[in-house]
Amino acid sequence: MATKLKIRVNEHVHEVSGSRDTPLLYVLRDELHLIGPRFGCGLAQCGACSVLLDGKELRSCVTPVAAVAGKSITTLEGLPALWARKRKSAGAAQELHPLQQAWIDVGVPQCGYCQSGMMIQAADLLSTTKNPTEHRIRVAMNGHLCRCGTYPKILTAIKRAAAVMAKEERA
Amino acid sequence: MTGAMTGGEISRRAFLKGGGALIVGFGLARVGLAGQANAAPPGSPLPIPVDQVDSYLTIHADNTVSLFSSIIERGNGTRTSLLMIAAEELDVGMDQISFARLDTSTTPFSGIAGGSQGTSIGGSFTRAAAATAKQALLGLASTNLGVPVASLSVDRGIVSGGGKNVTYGELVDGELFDLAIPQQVKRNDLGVFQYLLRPGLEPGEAPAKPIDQYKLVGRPQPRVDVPGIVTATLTYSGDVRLPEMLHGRVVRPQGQSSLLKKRTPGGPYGTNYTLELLAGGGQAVLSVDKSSIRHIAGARVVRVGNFVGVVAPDEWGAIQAARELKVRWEKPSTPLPGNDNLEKALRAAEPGLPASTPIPGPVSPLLITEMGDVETGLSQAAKTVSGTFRTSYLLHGPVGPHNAVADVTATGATIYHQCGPSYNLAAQGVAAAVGLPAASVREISLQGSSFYGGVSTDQDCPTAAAVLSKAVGKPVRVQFMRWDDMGYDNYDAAEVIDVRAGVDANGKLTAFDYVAYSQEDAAQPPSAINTGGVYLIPNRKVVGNVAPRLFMTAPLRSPMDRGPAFSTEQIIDELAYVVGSDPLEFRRQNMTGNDPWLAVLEAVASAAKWRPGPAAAKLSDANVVTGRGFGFGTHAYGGGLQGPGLDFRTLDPTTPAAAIADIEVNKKTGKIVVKHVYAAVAPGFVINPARVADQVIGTAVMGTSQALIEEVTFNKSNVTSRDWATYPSLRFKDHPNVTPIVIQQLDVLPGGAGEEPISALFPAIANAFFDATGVRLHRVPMKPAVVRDALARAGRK
Repeated sequence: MATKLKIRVNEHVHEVSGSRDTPLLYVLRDELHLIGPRFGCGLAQCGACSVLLDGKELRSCVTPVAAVAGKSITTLEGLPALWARKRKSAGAAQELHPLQQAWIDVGVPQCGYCQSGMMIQAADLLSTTKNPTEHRIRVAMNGHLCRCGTYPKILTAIKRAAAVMAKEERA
Repeated sequence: MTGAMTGGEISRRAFLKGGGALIVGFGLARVGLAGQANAAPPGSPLPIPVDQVDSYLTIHADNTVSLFSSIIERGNGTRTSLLMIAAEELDVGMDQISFARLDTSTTPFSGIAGGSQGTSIGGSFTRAAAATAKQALLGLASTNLGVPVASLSVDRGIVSGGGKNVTYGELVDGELFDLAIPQQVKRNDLGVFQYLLRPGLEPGEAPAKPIDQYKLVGRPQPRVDVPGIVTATLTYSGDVRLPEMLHGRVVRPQGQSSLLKKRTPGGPYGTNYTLELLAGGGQAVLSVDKSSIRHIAGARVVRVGNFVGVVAPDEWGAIQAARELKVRWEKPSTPLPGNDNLEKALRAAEPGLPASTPIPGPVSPLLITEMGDVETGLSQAAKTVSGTFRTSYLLHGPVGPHNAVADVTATGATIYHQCGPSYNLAAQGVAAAVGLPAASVREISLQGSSFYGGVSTDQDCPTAAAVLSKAVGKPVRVQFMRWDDMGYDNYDAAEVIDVRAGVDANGKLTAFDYVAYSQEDAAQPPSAINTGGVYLIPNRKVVGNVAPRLFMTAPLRSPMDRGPAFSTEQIIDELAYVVGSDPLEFRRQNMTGNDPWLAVLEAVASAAKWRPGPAAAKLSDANVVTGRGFGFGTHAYGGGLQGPGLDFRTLDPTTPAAAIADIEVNKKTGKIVVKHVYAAVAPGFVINPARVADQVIGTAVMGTSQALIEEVTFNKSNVTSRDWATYPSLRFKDHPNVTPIVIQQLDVLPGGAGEEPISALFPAIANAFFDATGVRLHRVPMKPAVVRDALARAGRK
């Protein structure tokens, strides 16, 4: 058997036990015990399983783990560190990513099951678009399903986080 | 381990004294509680006494409080409201109180998280327990400090008087209260109807704290569980992992077939239907080729009768094995009607079919309300209108399909999952499926993906896990796949509704005749309020006919309210139109003054800056047109208490809701986009206004989705809507902005707030469509094909 596959998740290197065709989601949840990404459909239709792959949103439920070797994966658990690196405050006590803080301040979640994927997609959006318009947010978030009806509050939270991030970058 | 569960047995008393060590391990002694004499008899599904303070709360040495309740958190913020109620009565801070995990071996039955009752009725249990505890604590403090009770004050669980202080923790000193709750003693025998009669204490009802002394309740509070959700530190049911655990999946045809052949009077399967449903919904197994999964490491087939499942050491192996296992099924012997023939199938209602309301006995046809004589009333009318309306089967559709871990041994079982609204129900199903006494199955409930009602998957999934666990002798986790959830849900029932109504020359309603056809067997008959009960109508008759059962059904957030409101409120709007009235003014003229329904009407009219005038006054030939419409709706939860001549509002605190929808219609494509929803609720005394506003927003978005695009589809043999492509749900791009309005009424009992705007929104959108196009829509979902067809029939395409 070939040497074990290694993946980089939230800046830690992990040796994969499962087969190379195992979807990334099951490796993250069952081997790394990361609970941010969740099973929703297994069909890339809902976004509950989303993670960042080199900063871009990816559906982990349909992505074979072998396809992400050598790339950097970030889950919801890794967002505070991602923000700390962006602000070059590594080593300091990690505060929440502005999106997480906005989600708390606005009180976004209802059952909360989809919200990890929502924050991951929003992190992708805000990494490339400063202060996005409402239309831009609606389009960017369209692939993520919430059944509780939290879309309006997500919209508010993304705008709030965007304002915080823009201010931080000016500072 | 992710699930944060540790082994070791610990009794409830040790748990109470120990200050919160998490308990696990089957065989937990159901002993040690004070008031054991009041506990239910052995084998009862309700082992924890409901009339003891110690059943509901524990005060720890560090002056923190653990609260126990059978009300689960389903995303409505209900558990935060219950914590607020307890903290208010006890005078402790929100940071000093938290919930113990819902575990049937330690948690008393204290209401259900459904039927708009979680905060209202669940809250009354909690309030009574906390108020009783507070009285006892003040008594202890009086003795301890040598100061009369009347001279004591409490802040953050510290009792002060005579210049001295003592904490609750010091007063309790690790002991139990051993104290009965008077209100709950007299209502100890909790039948299904008695809990509707509000068994605890209402806000301000002595010995509970007077409302004018409230510091927390009635003011906006953040949800206590949100930080854990946002930082991935809250354990969901899907995160539970046990040592030695295997992963399992169920194998069955993708999409249930008809249940018609299983129909027998009194219900198709009795209480043990879940295993039959799991077993292909009536399609028998002809053969299983075990060699077809031999190549998957560690995978194993389990067959029990017509139930087929697989287990494997890793999750991907289980998924692959379930996918690749070759099974031959019998063909469904009784065809489904297919979507196109649904109306005909529902109209085949048969006199004598059981309605299966909470009170056994009613059979089709059900006379819900009759006042005056509708034929006389119609003959007196200056103008009459009529219409036939149809709704579709709807899916509950959690984003995360149900999951469960079961650990079955020879003497008992433990299941971990998100329990449904009815505490202990899954445990009973598991017990029956694996042949254990009901009392030996322990159910532990964790947060999960909300499923907005009663489903079947919350029983099917732990049952599947338990059947597999028993077969392999290890804990088994089953994660239902997307198609399991969508193909085997107990759907919300479709309806066909015929309405006739009349108005006199003065614009007063003279008659309202409502006849519904539906297989509904789990929710109440058409709500007496949503079928014209809001209005003063001298001659009114409401009848529900029970149609043959195509699928098992279960209540979905605002069950059996959508069709009644969609039809009734369009008919009312149509009457306003034919007499040339403004739709809101027409309603005001046909209602009593001083009515909470008028309060919600005026609230949305004011928020939306409603401009009075007849509907459809500015029709345009443009392809994209806009319109605005109004609707009333509610969810009346005392279904079993309905009957001829009963005024619901005196029996149940029902929450009025009103909605105004602003929509845009593309006539060519037939697509409706709801741009803005103004929705108001008047749920009586509001415990946490900010979270009720969240519910208004959520129900407005969910209602828009259901009204516009959601529909369970089926061909002549099986359900065909099995993923988010075949069962569309509203996406981010098309969601309405929402203006929520919450009316606080300190002098009215707390009512429900998690579902009511949904039914109001259905007619609000349809009336907005009429305003935009001059055409009525008689069918939901109001999807593009339905819209194009309606416009074409009216010659307006």
